[in-house]
Amino acid sequence: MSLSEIHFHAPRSEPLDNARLRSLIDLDHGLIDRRIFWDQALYELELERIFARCWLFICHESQIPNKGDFVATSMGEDPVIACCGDDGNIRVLLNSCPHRGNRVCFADEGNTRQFVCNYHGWSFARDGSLLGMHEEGRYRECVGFEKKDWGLHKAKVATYKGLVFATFDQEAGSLDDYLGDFRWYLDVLLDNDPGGTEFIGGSLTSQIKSNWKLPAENFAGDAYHAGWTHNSAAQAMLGASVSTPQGETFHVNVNGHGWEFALDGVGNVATFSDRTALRYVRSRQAEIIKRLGEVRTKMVGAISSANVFPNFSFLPGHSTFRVWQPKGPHKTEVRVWALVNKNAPPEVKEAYRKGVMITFSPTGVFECDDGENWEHATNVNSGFVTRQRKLHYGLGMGSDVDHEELKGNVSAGMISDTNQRAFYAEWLRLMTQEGQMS
Amino acid sequence: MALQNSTRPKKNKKDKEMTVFLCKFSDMFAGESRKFTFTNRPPIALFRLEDGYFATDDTCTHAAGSLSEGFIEGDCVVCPVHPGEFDIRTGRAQCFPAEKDLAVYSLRIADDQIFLDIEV
Amino acid sequence: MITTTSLTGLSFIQSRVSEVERTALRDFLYQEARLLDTQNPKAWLDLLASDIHYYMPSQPSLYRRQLEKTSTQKKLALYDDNLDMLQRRITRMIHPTAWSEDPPNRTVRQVTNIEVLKQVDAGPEKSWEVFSCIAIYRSRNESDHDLIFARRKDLICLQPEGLRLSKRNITLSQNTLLSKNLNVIF
Repeated sequence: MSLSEIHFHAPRSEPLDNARLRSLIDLDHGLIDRRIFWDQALYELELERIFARCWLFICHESQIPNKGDFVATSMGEDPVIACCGDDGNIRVLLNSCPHRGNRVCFADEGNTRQFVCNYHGWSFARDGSLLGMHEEGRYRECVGFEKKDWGLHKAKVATYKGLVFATFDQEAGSLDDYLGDFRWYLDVLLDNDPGGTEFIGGSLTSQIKSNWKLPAENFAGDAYHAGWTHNSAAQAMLGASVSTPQGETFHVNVNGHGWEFALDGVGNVATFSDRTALRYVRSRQAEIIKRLGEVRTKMVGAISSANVFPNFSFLPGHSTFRVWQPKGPHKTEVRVWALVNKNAPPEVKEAYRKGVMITFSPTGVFECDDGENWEHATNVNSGFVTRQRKLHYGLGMGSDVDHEELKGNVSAGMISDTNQRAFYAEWLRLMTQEGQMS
Repeated sequence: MALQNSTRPKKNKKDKEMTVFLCKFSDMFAGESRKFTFTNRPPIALFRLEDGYFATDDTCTHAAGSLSEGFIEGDCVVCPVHPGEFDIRTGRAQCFPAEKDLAVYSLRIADDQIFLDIEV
Repeated sequence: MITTTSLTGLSFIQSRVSEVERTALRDFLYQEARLLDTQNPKAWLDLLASDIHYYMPSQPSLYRRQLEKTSTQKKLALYDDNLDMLQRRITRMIHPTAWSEDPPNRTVRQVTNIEVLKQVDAGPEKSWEVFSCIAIYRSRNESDHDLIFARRKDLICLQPEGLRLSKRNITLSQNTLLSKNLNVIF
């Protein structure tokens, strides 16, 4: 019996009303219930109340620049296709034929004139509209059938500086409102050069037997683990242990999105053995100061990590971007990309490509120790007694500060659980459908 | 791209056969296609290839795709609905799901004008 | 001398590769697998030429019409390593704080379908183009296990110290890697 089958036999105790949900997240005491990483019913509610409502990362515009270009991905467990239409607009279409449900796209990426279902030949245009079907004559006799009603279901799409997001919630507020002041931080990577950014070609996909929230919260705020989990990788890449950053360090969060960072400017990018990317970041500092100011310039390559709620994470400096796609309460699909400035010289892009591969990818020397931590933090909760124990998320309580420049909720010290608590506050707000974004 | 063009056919002496003016020779460039609709018969697609003009039925024999909105690849047209292909010159169906050949029509060129002889 | 022999309808082209060379190359691949299975990655590094290129591109699912037009060059790959990068990987692997290597993984590598098709006279050294398949069974902790298959195309050269791996191009059989990491040498 696989791990993902075991939960069907676990007794379900209380119903998942708001009182029950609130009991899982105790932010006043920094305690979190392990059930949120294990329980199937909670997971199903996440698919409905988080993944069907939030703005979710889809792709970078640079991946689908031409008419008919597409990439396949998912929103929660809903498979979708992002396609550049004949009008140049990007649409995100449900990858499921409205006739009998089969997928209409089986490739990860490519260029197509239409999406045709392999089952009955229903054919859909690049904008998702139904073009026609096999034996179409019979449908002309079908009373009440109108082709315009049977296109591929569409998500609402918006972009922020090259990043494409989508939501299935047609009543959702704007992407700008969803990101809020976190955009000020995103500009550190997305807008430090006037030419904008692109993803280096290709992506790497793997599966880990972990709940999706463990890696997402890790990227939102877990600077703490780096010195212990990644010591062997630091020895390999730097010849030394992970150093404690000197100077001020912070957790910042907005609407559940989190970014933890030092202001050392180059701490993350320095872990590439090749110094090309490090020299590139240093050489551009004066120019970036004019564009973004001193504080954000110090964030560009710094020791840091970030997560856009719910499941889109990245490491500034390493420039590795990823989504943690939920595939059940105990399984997550990880898809990894690398972001570079469009104007960066070819040798710099190559340095980032190789740097991401050797540090943070399925073969990355840093990443290969993370997966085990998250898998065991998930599967240990199959034990009934284990599952009753609360987890400690209380580090850094009371460390909120006012900062003249940093936006959002700011707290001092990167060795903290502040952003993780903010992540779960937003999780709880959406799950209980209560309260405003913070 | 298809250009819908309704024309009133000019009756000639032969029973039920018409000569229809379509366009001037210089109106279309190689790789372009247009659709012509009629009141009493299905539409016609006109294609210009490197070496001249060719006319076929516009409606794909598989489903209801308009071939004048399809994609010209060499001497073939690919239906925009499903990737069935037809030889533009002969109308012959080339691959699944196109299995039945297209009707093709003769064209006459006179004084830089292209005429189509069809039955209505 | 190039000879062609016919056997039950199949023809074999043998191009200047002797049986002695073929056996030595096969044993080289078996030795490599044994060193890695018996927790001796440093000794494996000694089997690499100084100009090693170790390449494993990702395997996206692409439609057949797209395959011909798509190159994996300059795209994110799982491995695209030179000797320095491989040395760093091994440094991490054997470090006492490589938590996901302790307790050690148990692996069995099966190397099969070995074909030595030609001797490549690309430089001063004798070298051979060698194809093989590899199946790696990896078991970790109580019941965590993977079985991953790949095809390899190698360039193996004869240096004064012996046979050395100069290039390896690995085609993985998985699109989505069904494993939390791929810190195994193929």
